[in-house]
Amino acid sequence: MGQSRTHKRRPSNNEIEVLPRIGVETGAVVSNITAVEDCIQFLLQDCTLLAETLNVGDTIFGDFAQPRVAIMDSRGVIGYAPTYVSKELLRKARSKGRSITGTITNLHPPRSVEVEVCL
Amino acid sequence: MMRTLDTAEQLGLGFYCIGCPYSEYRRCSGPRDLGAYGRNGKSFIGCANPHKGTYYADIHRRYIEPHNSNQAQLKLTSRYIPQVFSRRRDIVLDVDHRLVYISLDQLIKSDGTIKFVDKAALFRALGLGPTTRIALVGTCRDLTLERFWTKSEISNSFQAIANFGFEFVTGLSLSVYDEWPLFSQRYNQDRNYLSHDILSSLGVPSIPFLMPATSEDYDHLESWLNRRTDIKLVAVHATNFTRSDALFQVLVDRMTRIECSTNRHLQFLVVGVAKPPQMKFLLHNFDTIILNSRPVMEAIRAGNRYDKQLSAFPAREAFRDDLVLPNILAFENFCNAANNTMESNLGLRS
Repeated sequence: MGQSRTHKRRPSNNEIEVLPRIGVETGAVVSNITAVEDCIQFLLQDCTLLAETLNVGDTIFGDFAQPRVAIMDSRGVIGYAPTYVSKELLRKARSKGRSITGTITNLHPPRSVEVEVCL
Repeated sequence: MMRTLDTAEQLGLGFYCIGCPYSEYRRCSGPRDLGAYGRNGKSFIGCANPHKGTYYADIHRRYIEPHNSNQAQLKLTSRYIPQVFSRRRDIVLDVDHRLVYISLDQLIKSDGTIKFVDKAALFRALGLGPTTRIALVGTCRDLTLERFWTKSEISNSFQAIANFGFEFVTGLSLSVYDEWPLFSQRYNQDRNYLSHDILSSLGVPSIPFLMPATSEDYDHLESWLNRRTDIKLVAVHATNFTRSDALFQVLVDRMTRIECSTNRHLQFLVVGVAKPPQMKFLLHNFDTIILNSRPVMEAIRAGNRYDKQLSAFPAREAFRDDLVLPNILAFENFCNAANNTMESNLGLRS
């Protein structure tokens, strides 16, 4: 039962498995990318409403939501990296053991967003 | 002096903080407890969990804009709402005009899916009349709650809950334990907030469960409430804060800090407090509605009756069902009288 507790330890022999939600996956569309050293610039796919409120230079980060990397800011998901960009990011992030962070580099209203992510 | 998480010293950012979204977005300033910081387990997503980003992405991958919580539709006139349980189905319990509630535990199976096809089936199981006013409180065993969460999207569970037509629904109450790593605490708080937003977006009168623990949590709560200015009712979980005076004081302190998180007046649904002095204290010091299972449980499970002072004693009635309404009345009268006394003392009654 949910609660915030200060002293009692949770019983360790009663482990519960925490899993993310099982969701519906969507398809990917190919778009152009430019690779500079360990930074990659690309156009986001399936941008959300948040894309309309961004500014160039805003910080973004990415996460390894399958099958595409989700690009987000503190409020939520802005859009998604194309699948083959996601694979490249995943490969680089795992080899370097780092997270994906980046910035908004260009905006084409209403919902076309170009980002640069670096590893 | 009790050492709570918020009074512990900040240790600074640690190794696991690098790339952590809560650190990057200033929801977290680093660990306060090295033991908790490095803890790993299946029951929570810890700071040291290498896949924590995936879990963070899960709750942020689909943005739910803050919707009107629909709380203005609510007409909660009593200071007490009882929890009801399944009883004999051949006898319908008449609770008259009263609002009653069930917990999420009673609505879903152990695999996390919803038990009942519709409200009529739910009422038959509970032995309630078809026009009974009923609400849903998102309290549940963590094991079942996690399964519910995992399947919630693919089973469209939140829409199914909305379709029941509950008078109100609270958000989920995923556990926030002080001994767990901070990532898990924030992840669970965010899931509780998200569940409120999802339910609100479906048009259900929704009340969020609030479980802030650290200063950063209260800061985030302030920001969260400021973007949802229609929220006037919030829920807090009192279970495990009622065992001792010291723990009860922690609950009171946290409710006070929640009140101070916003400039507007908040009304609290306090779930799981049943000791008369504690209920009276909360009713006197906060704008409170008490929710618990005690009157119905004592009636149907123990055959006990409550007097005006809420002392329970074995009853002579042959049918335990006959004890339910008098017990509910006893709690209702106690809570409403305690609140009326408070209002009189403050000169709020004409």
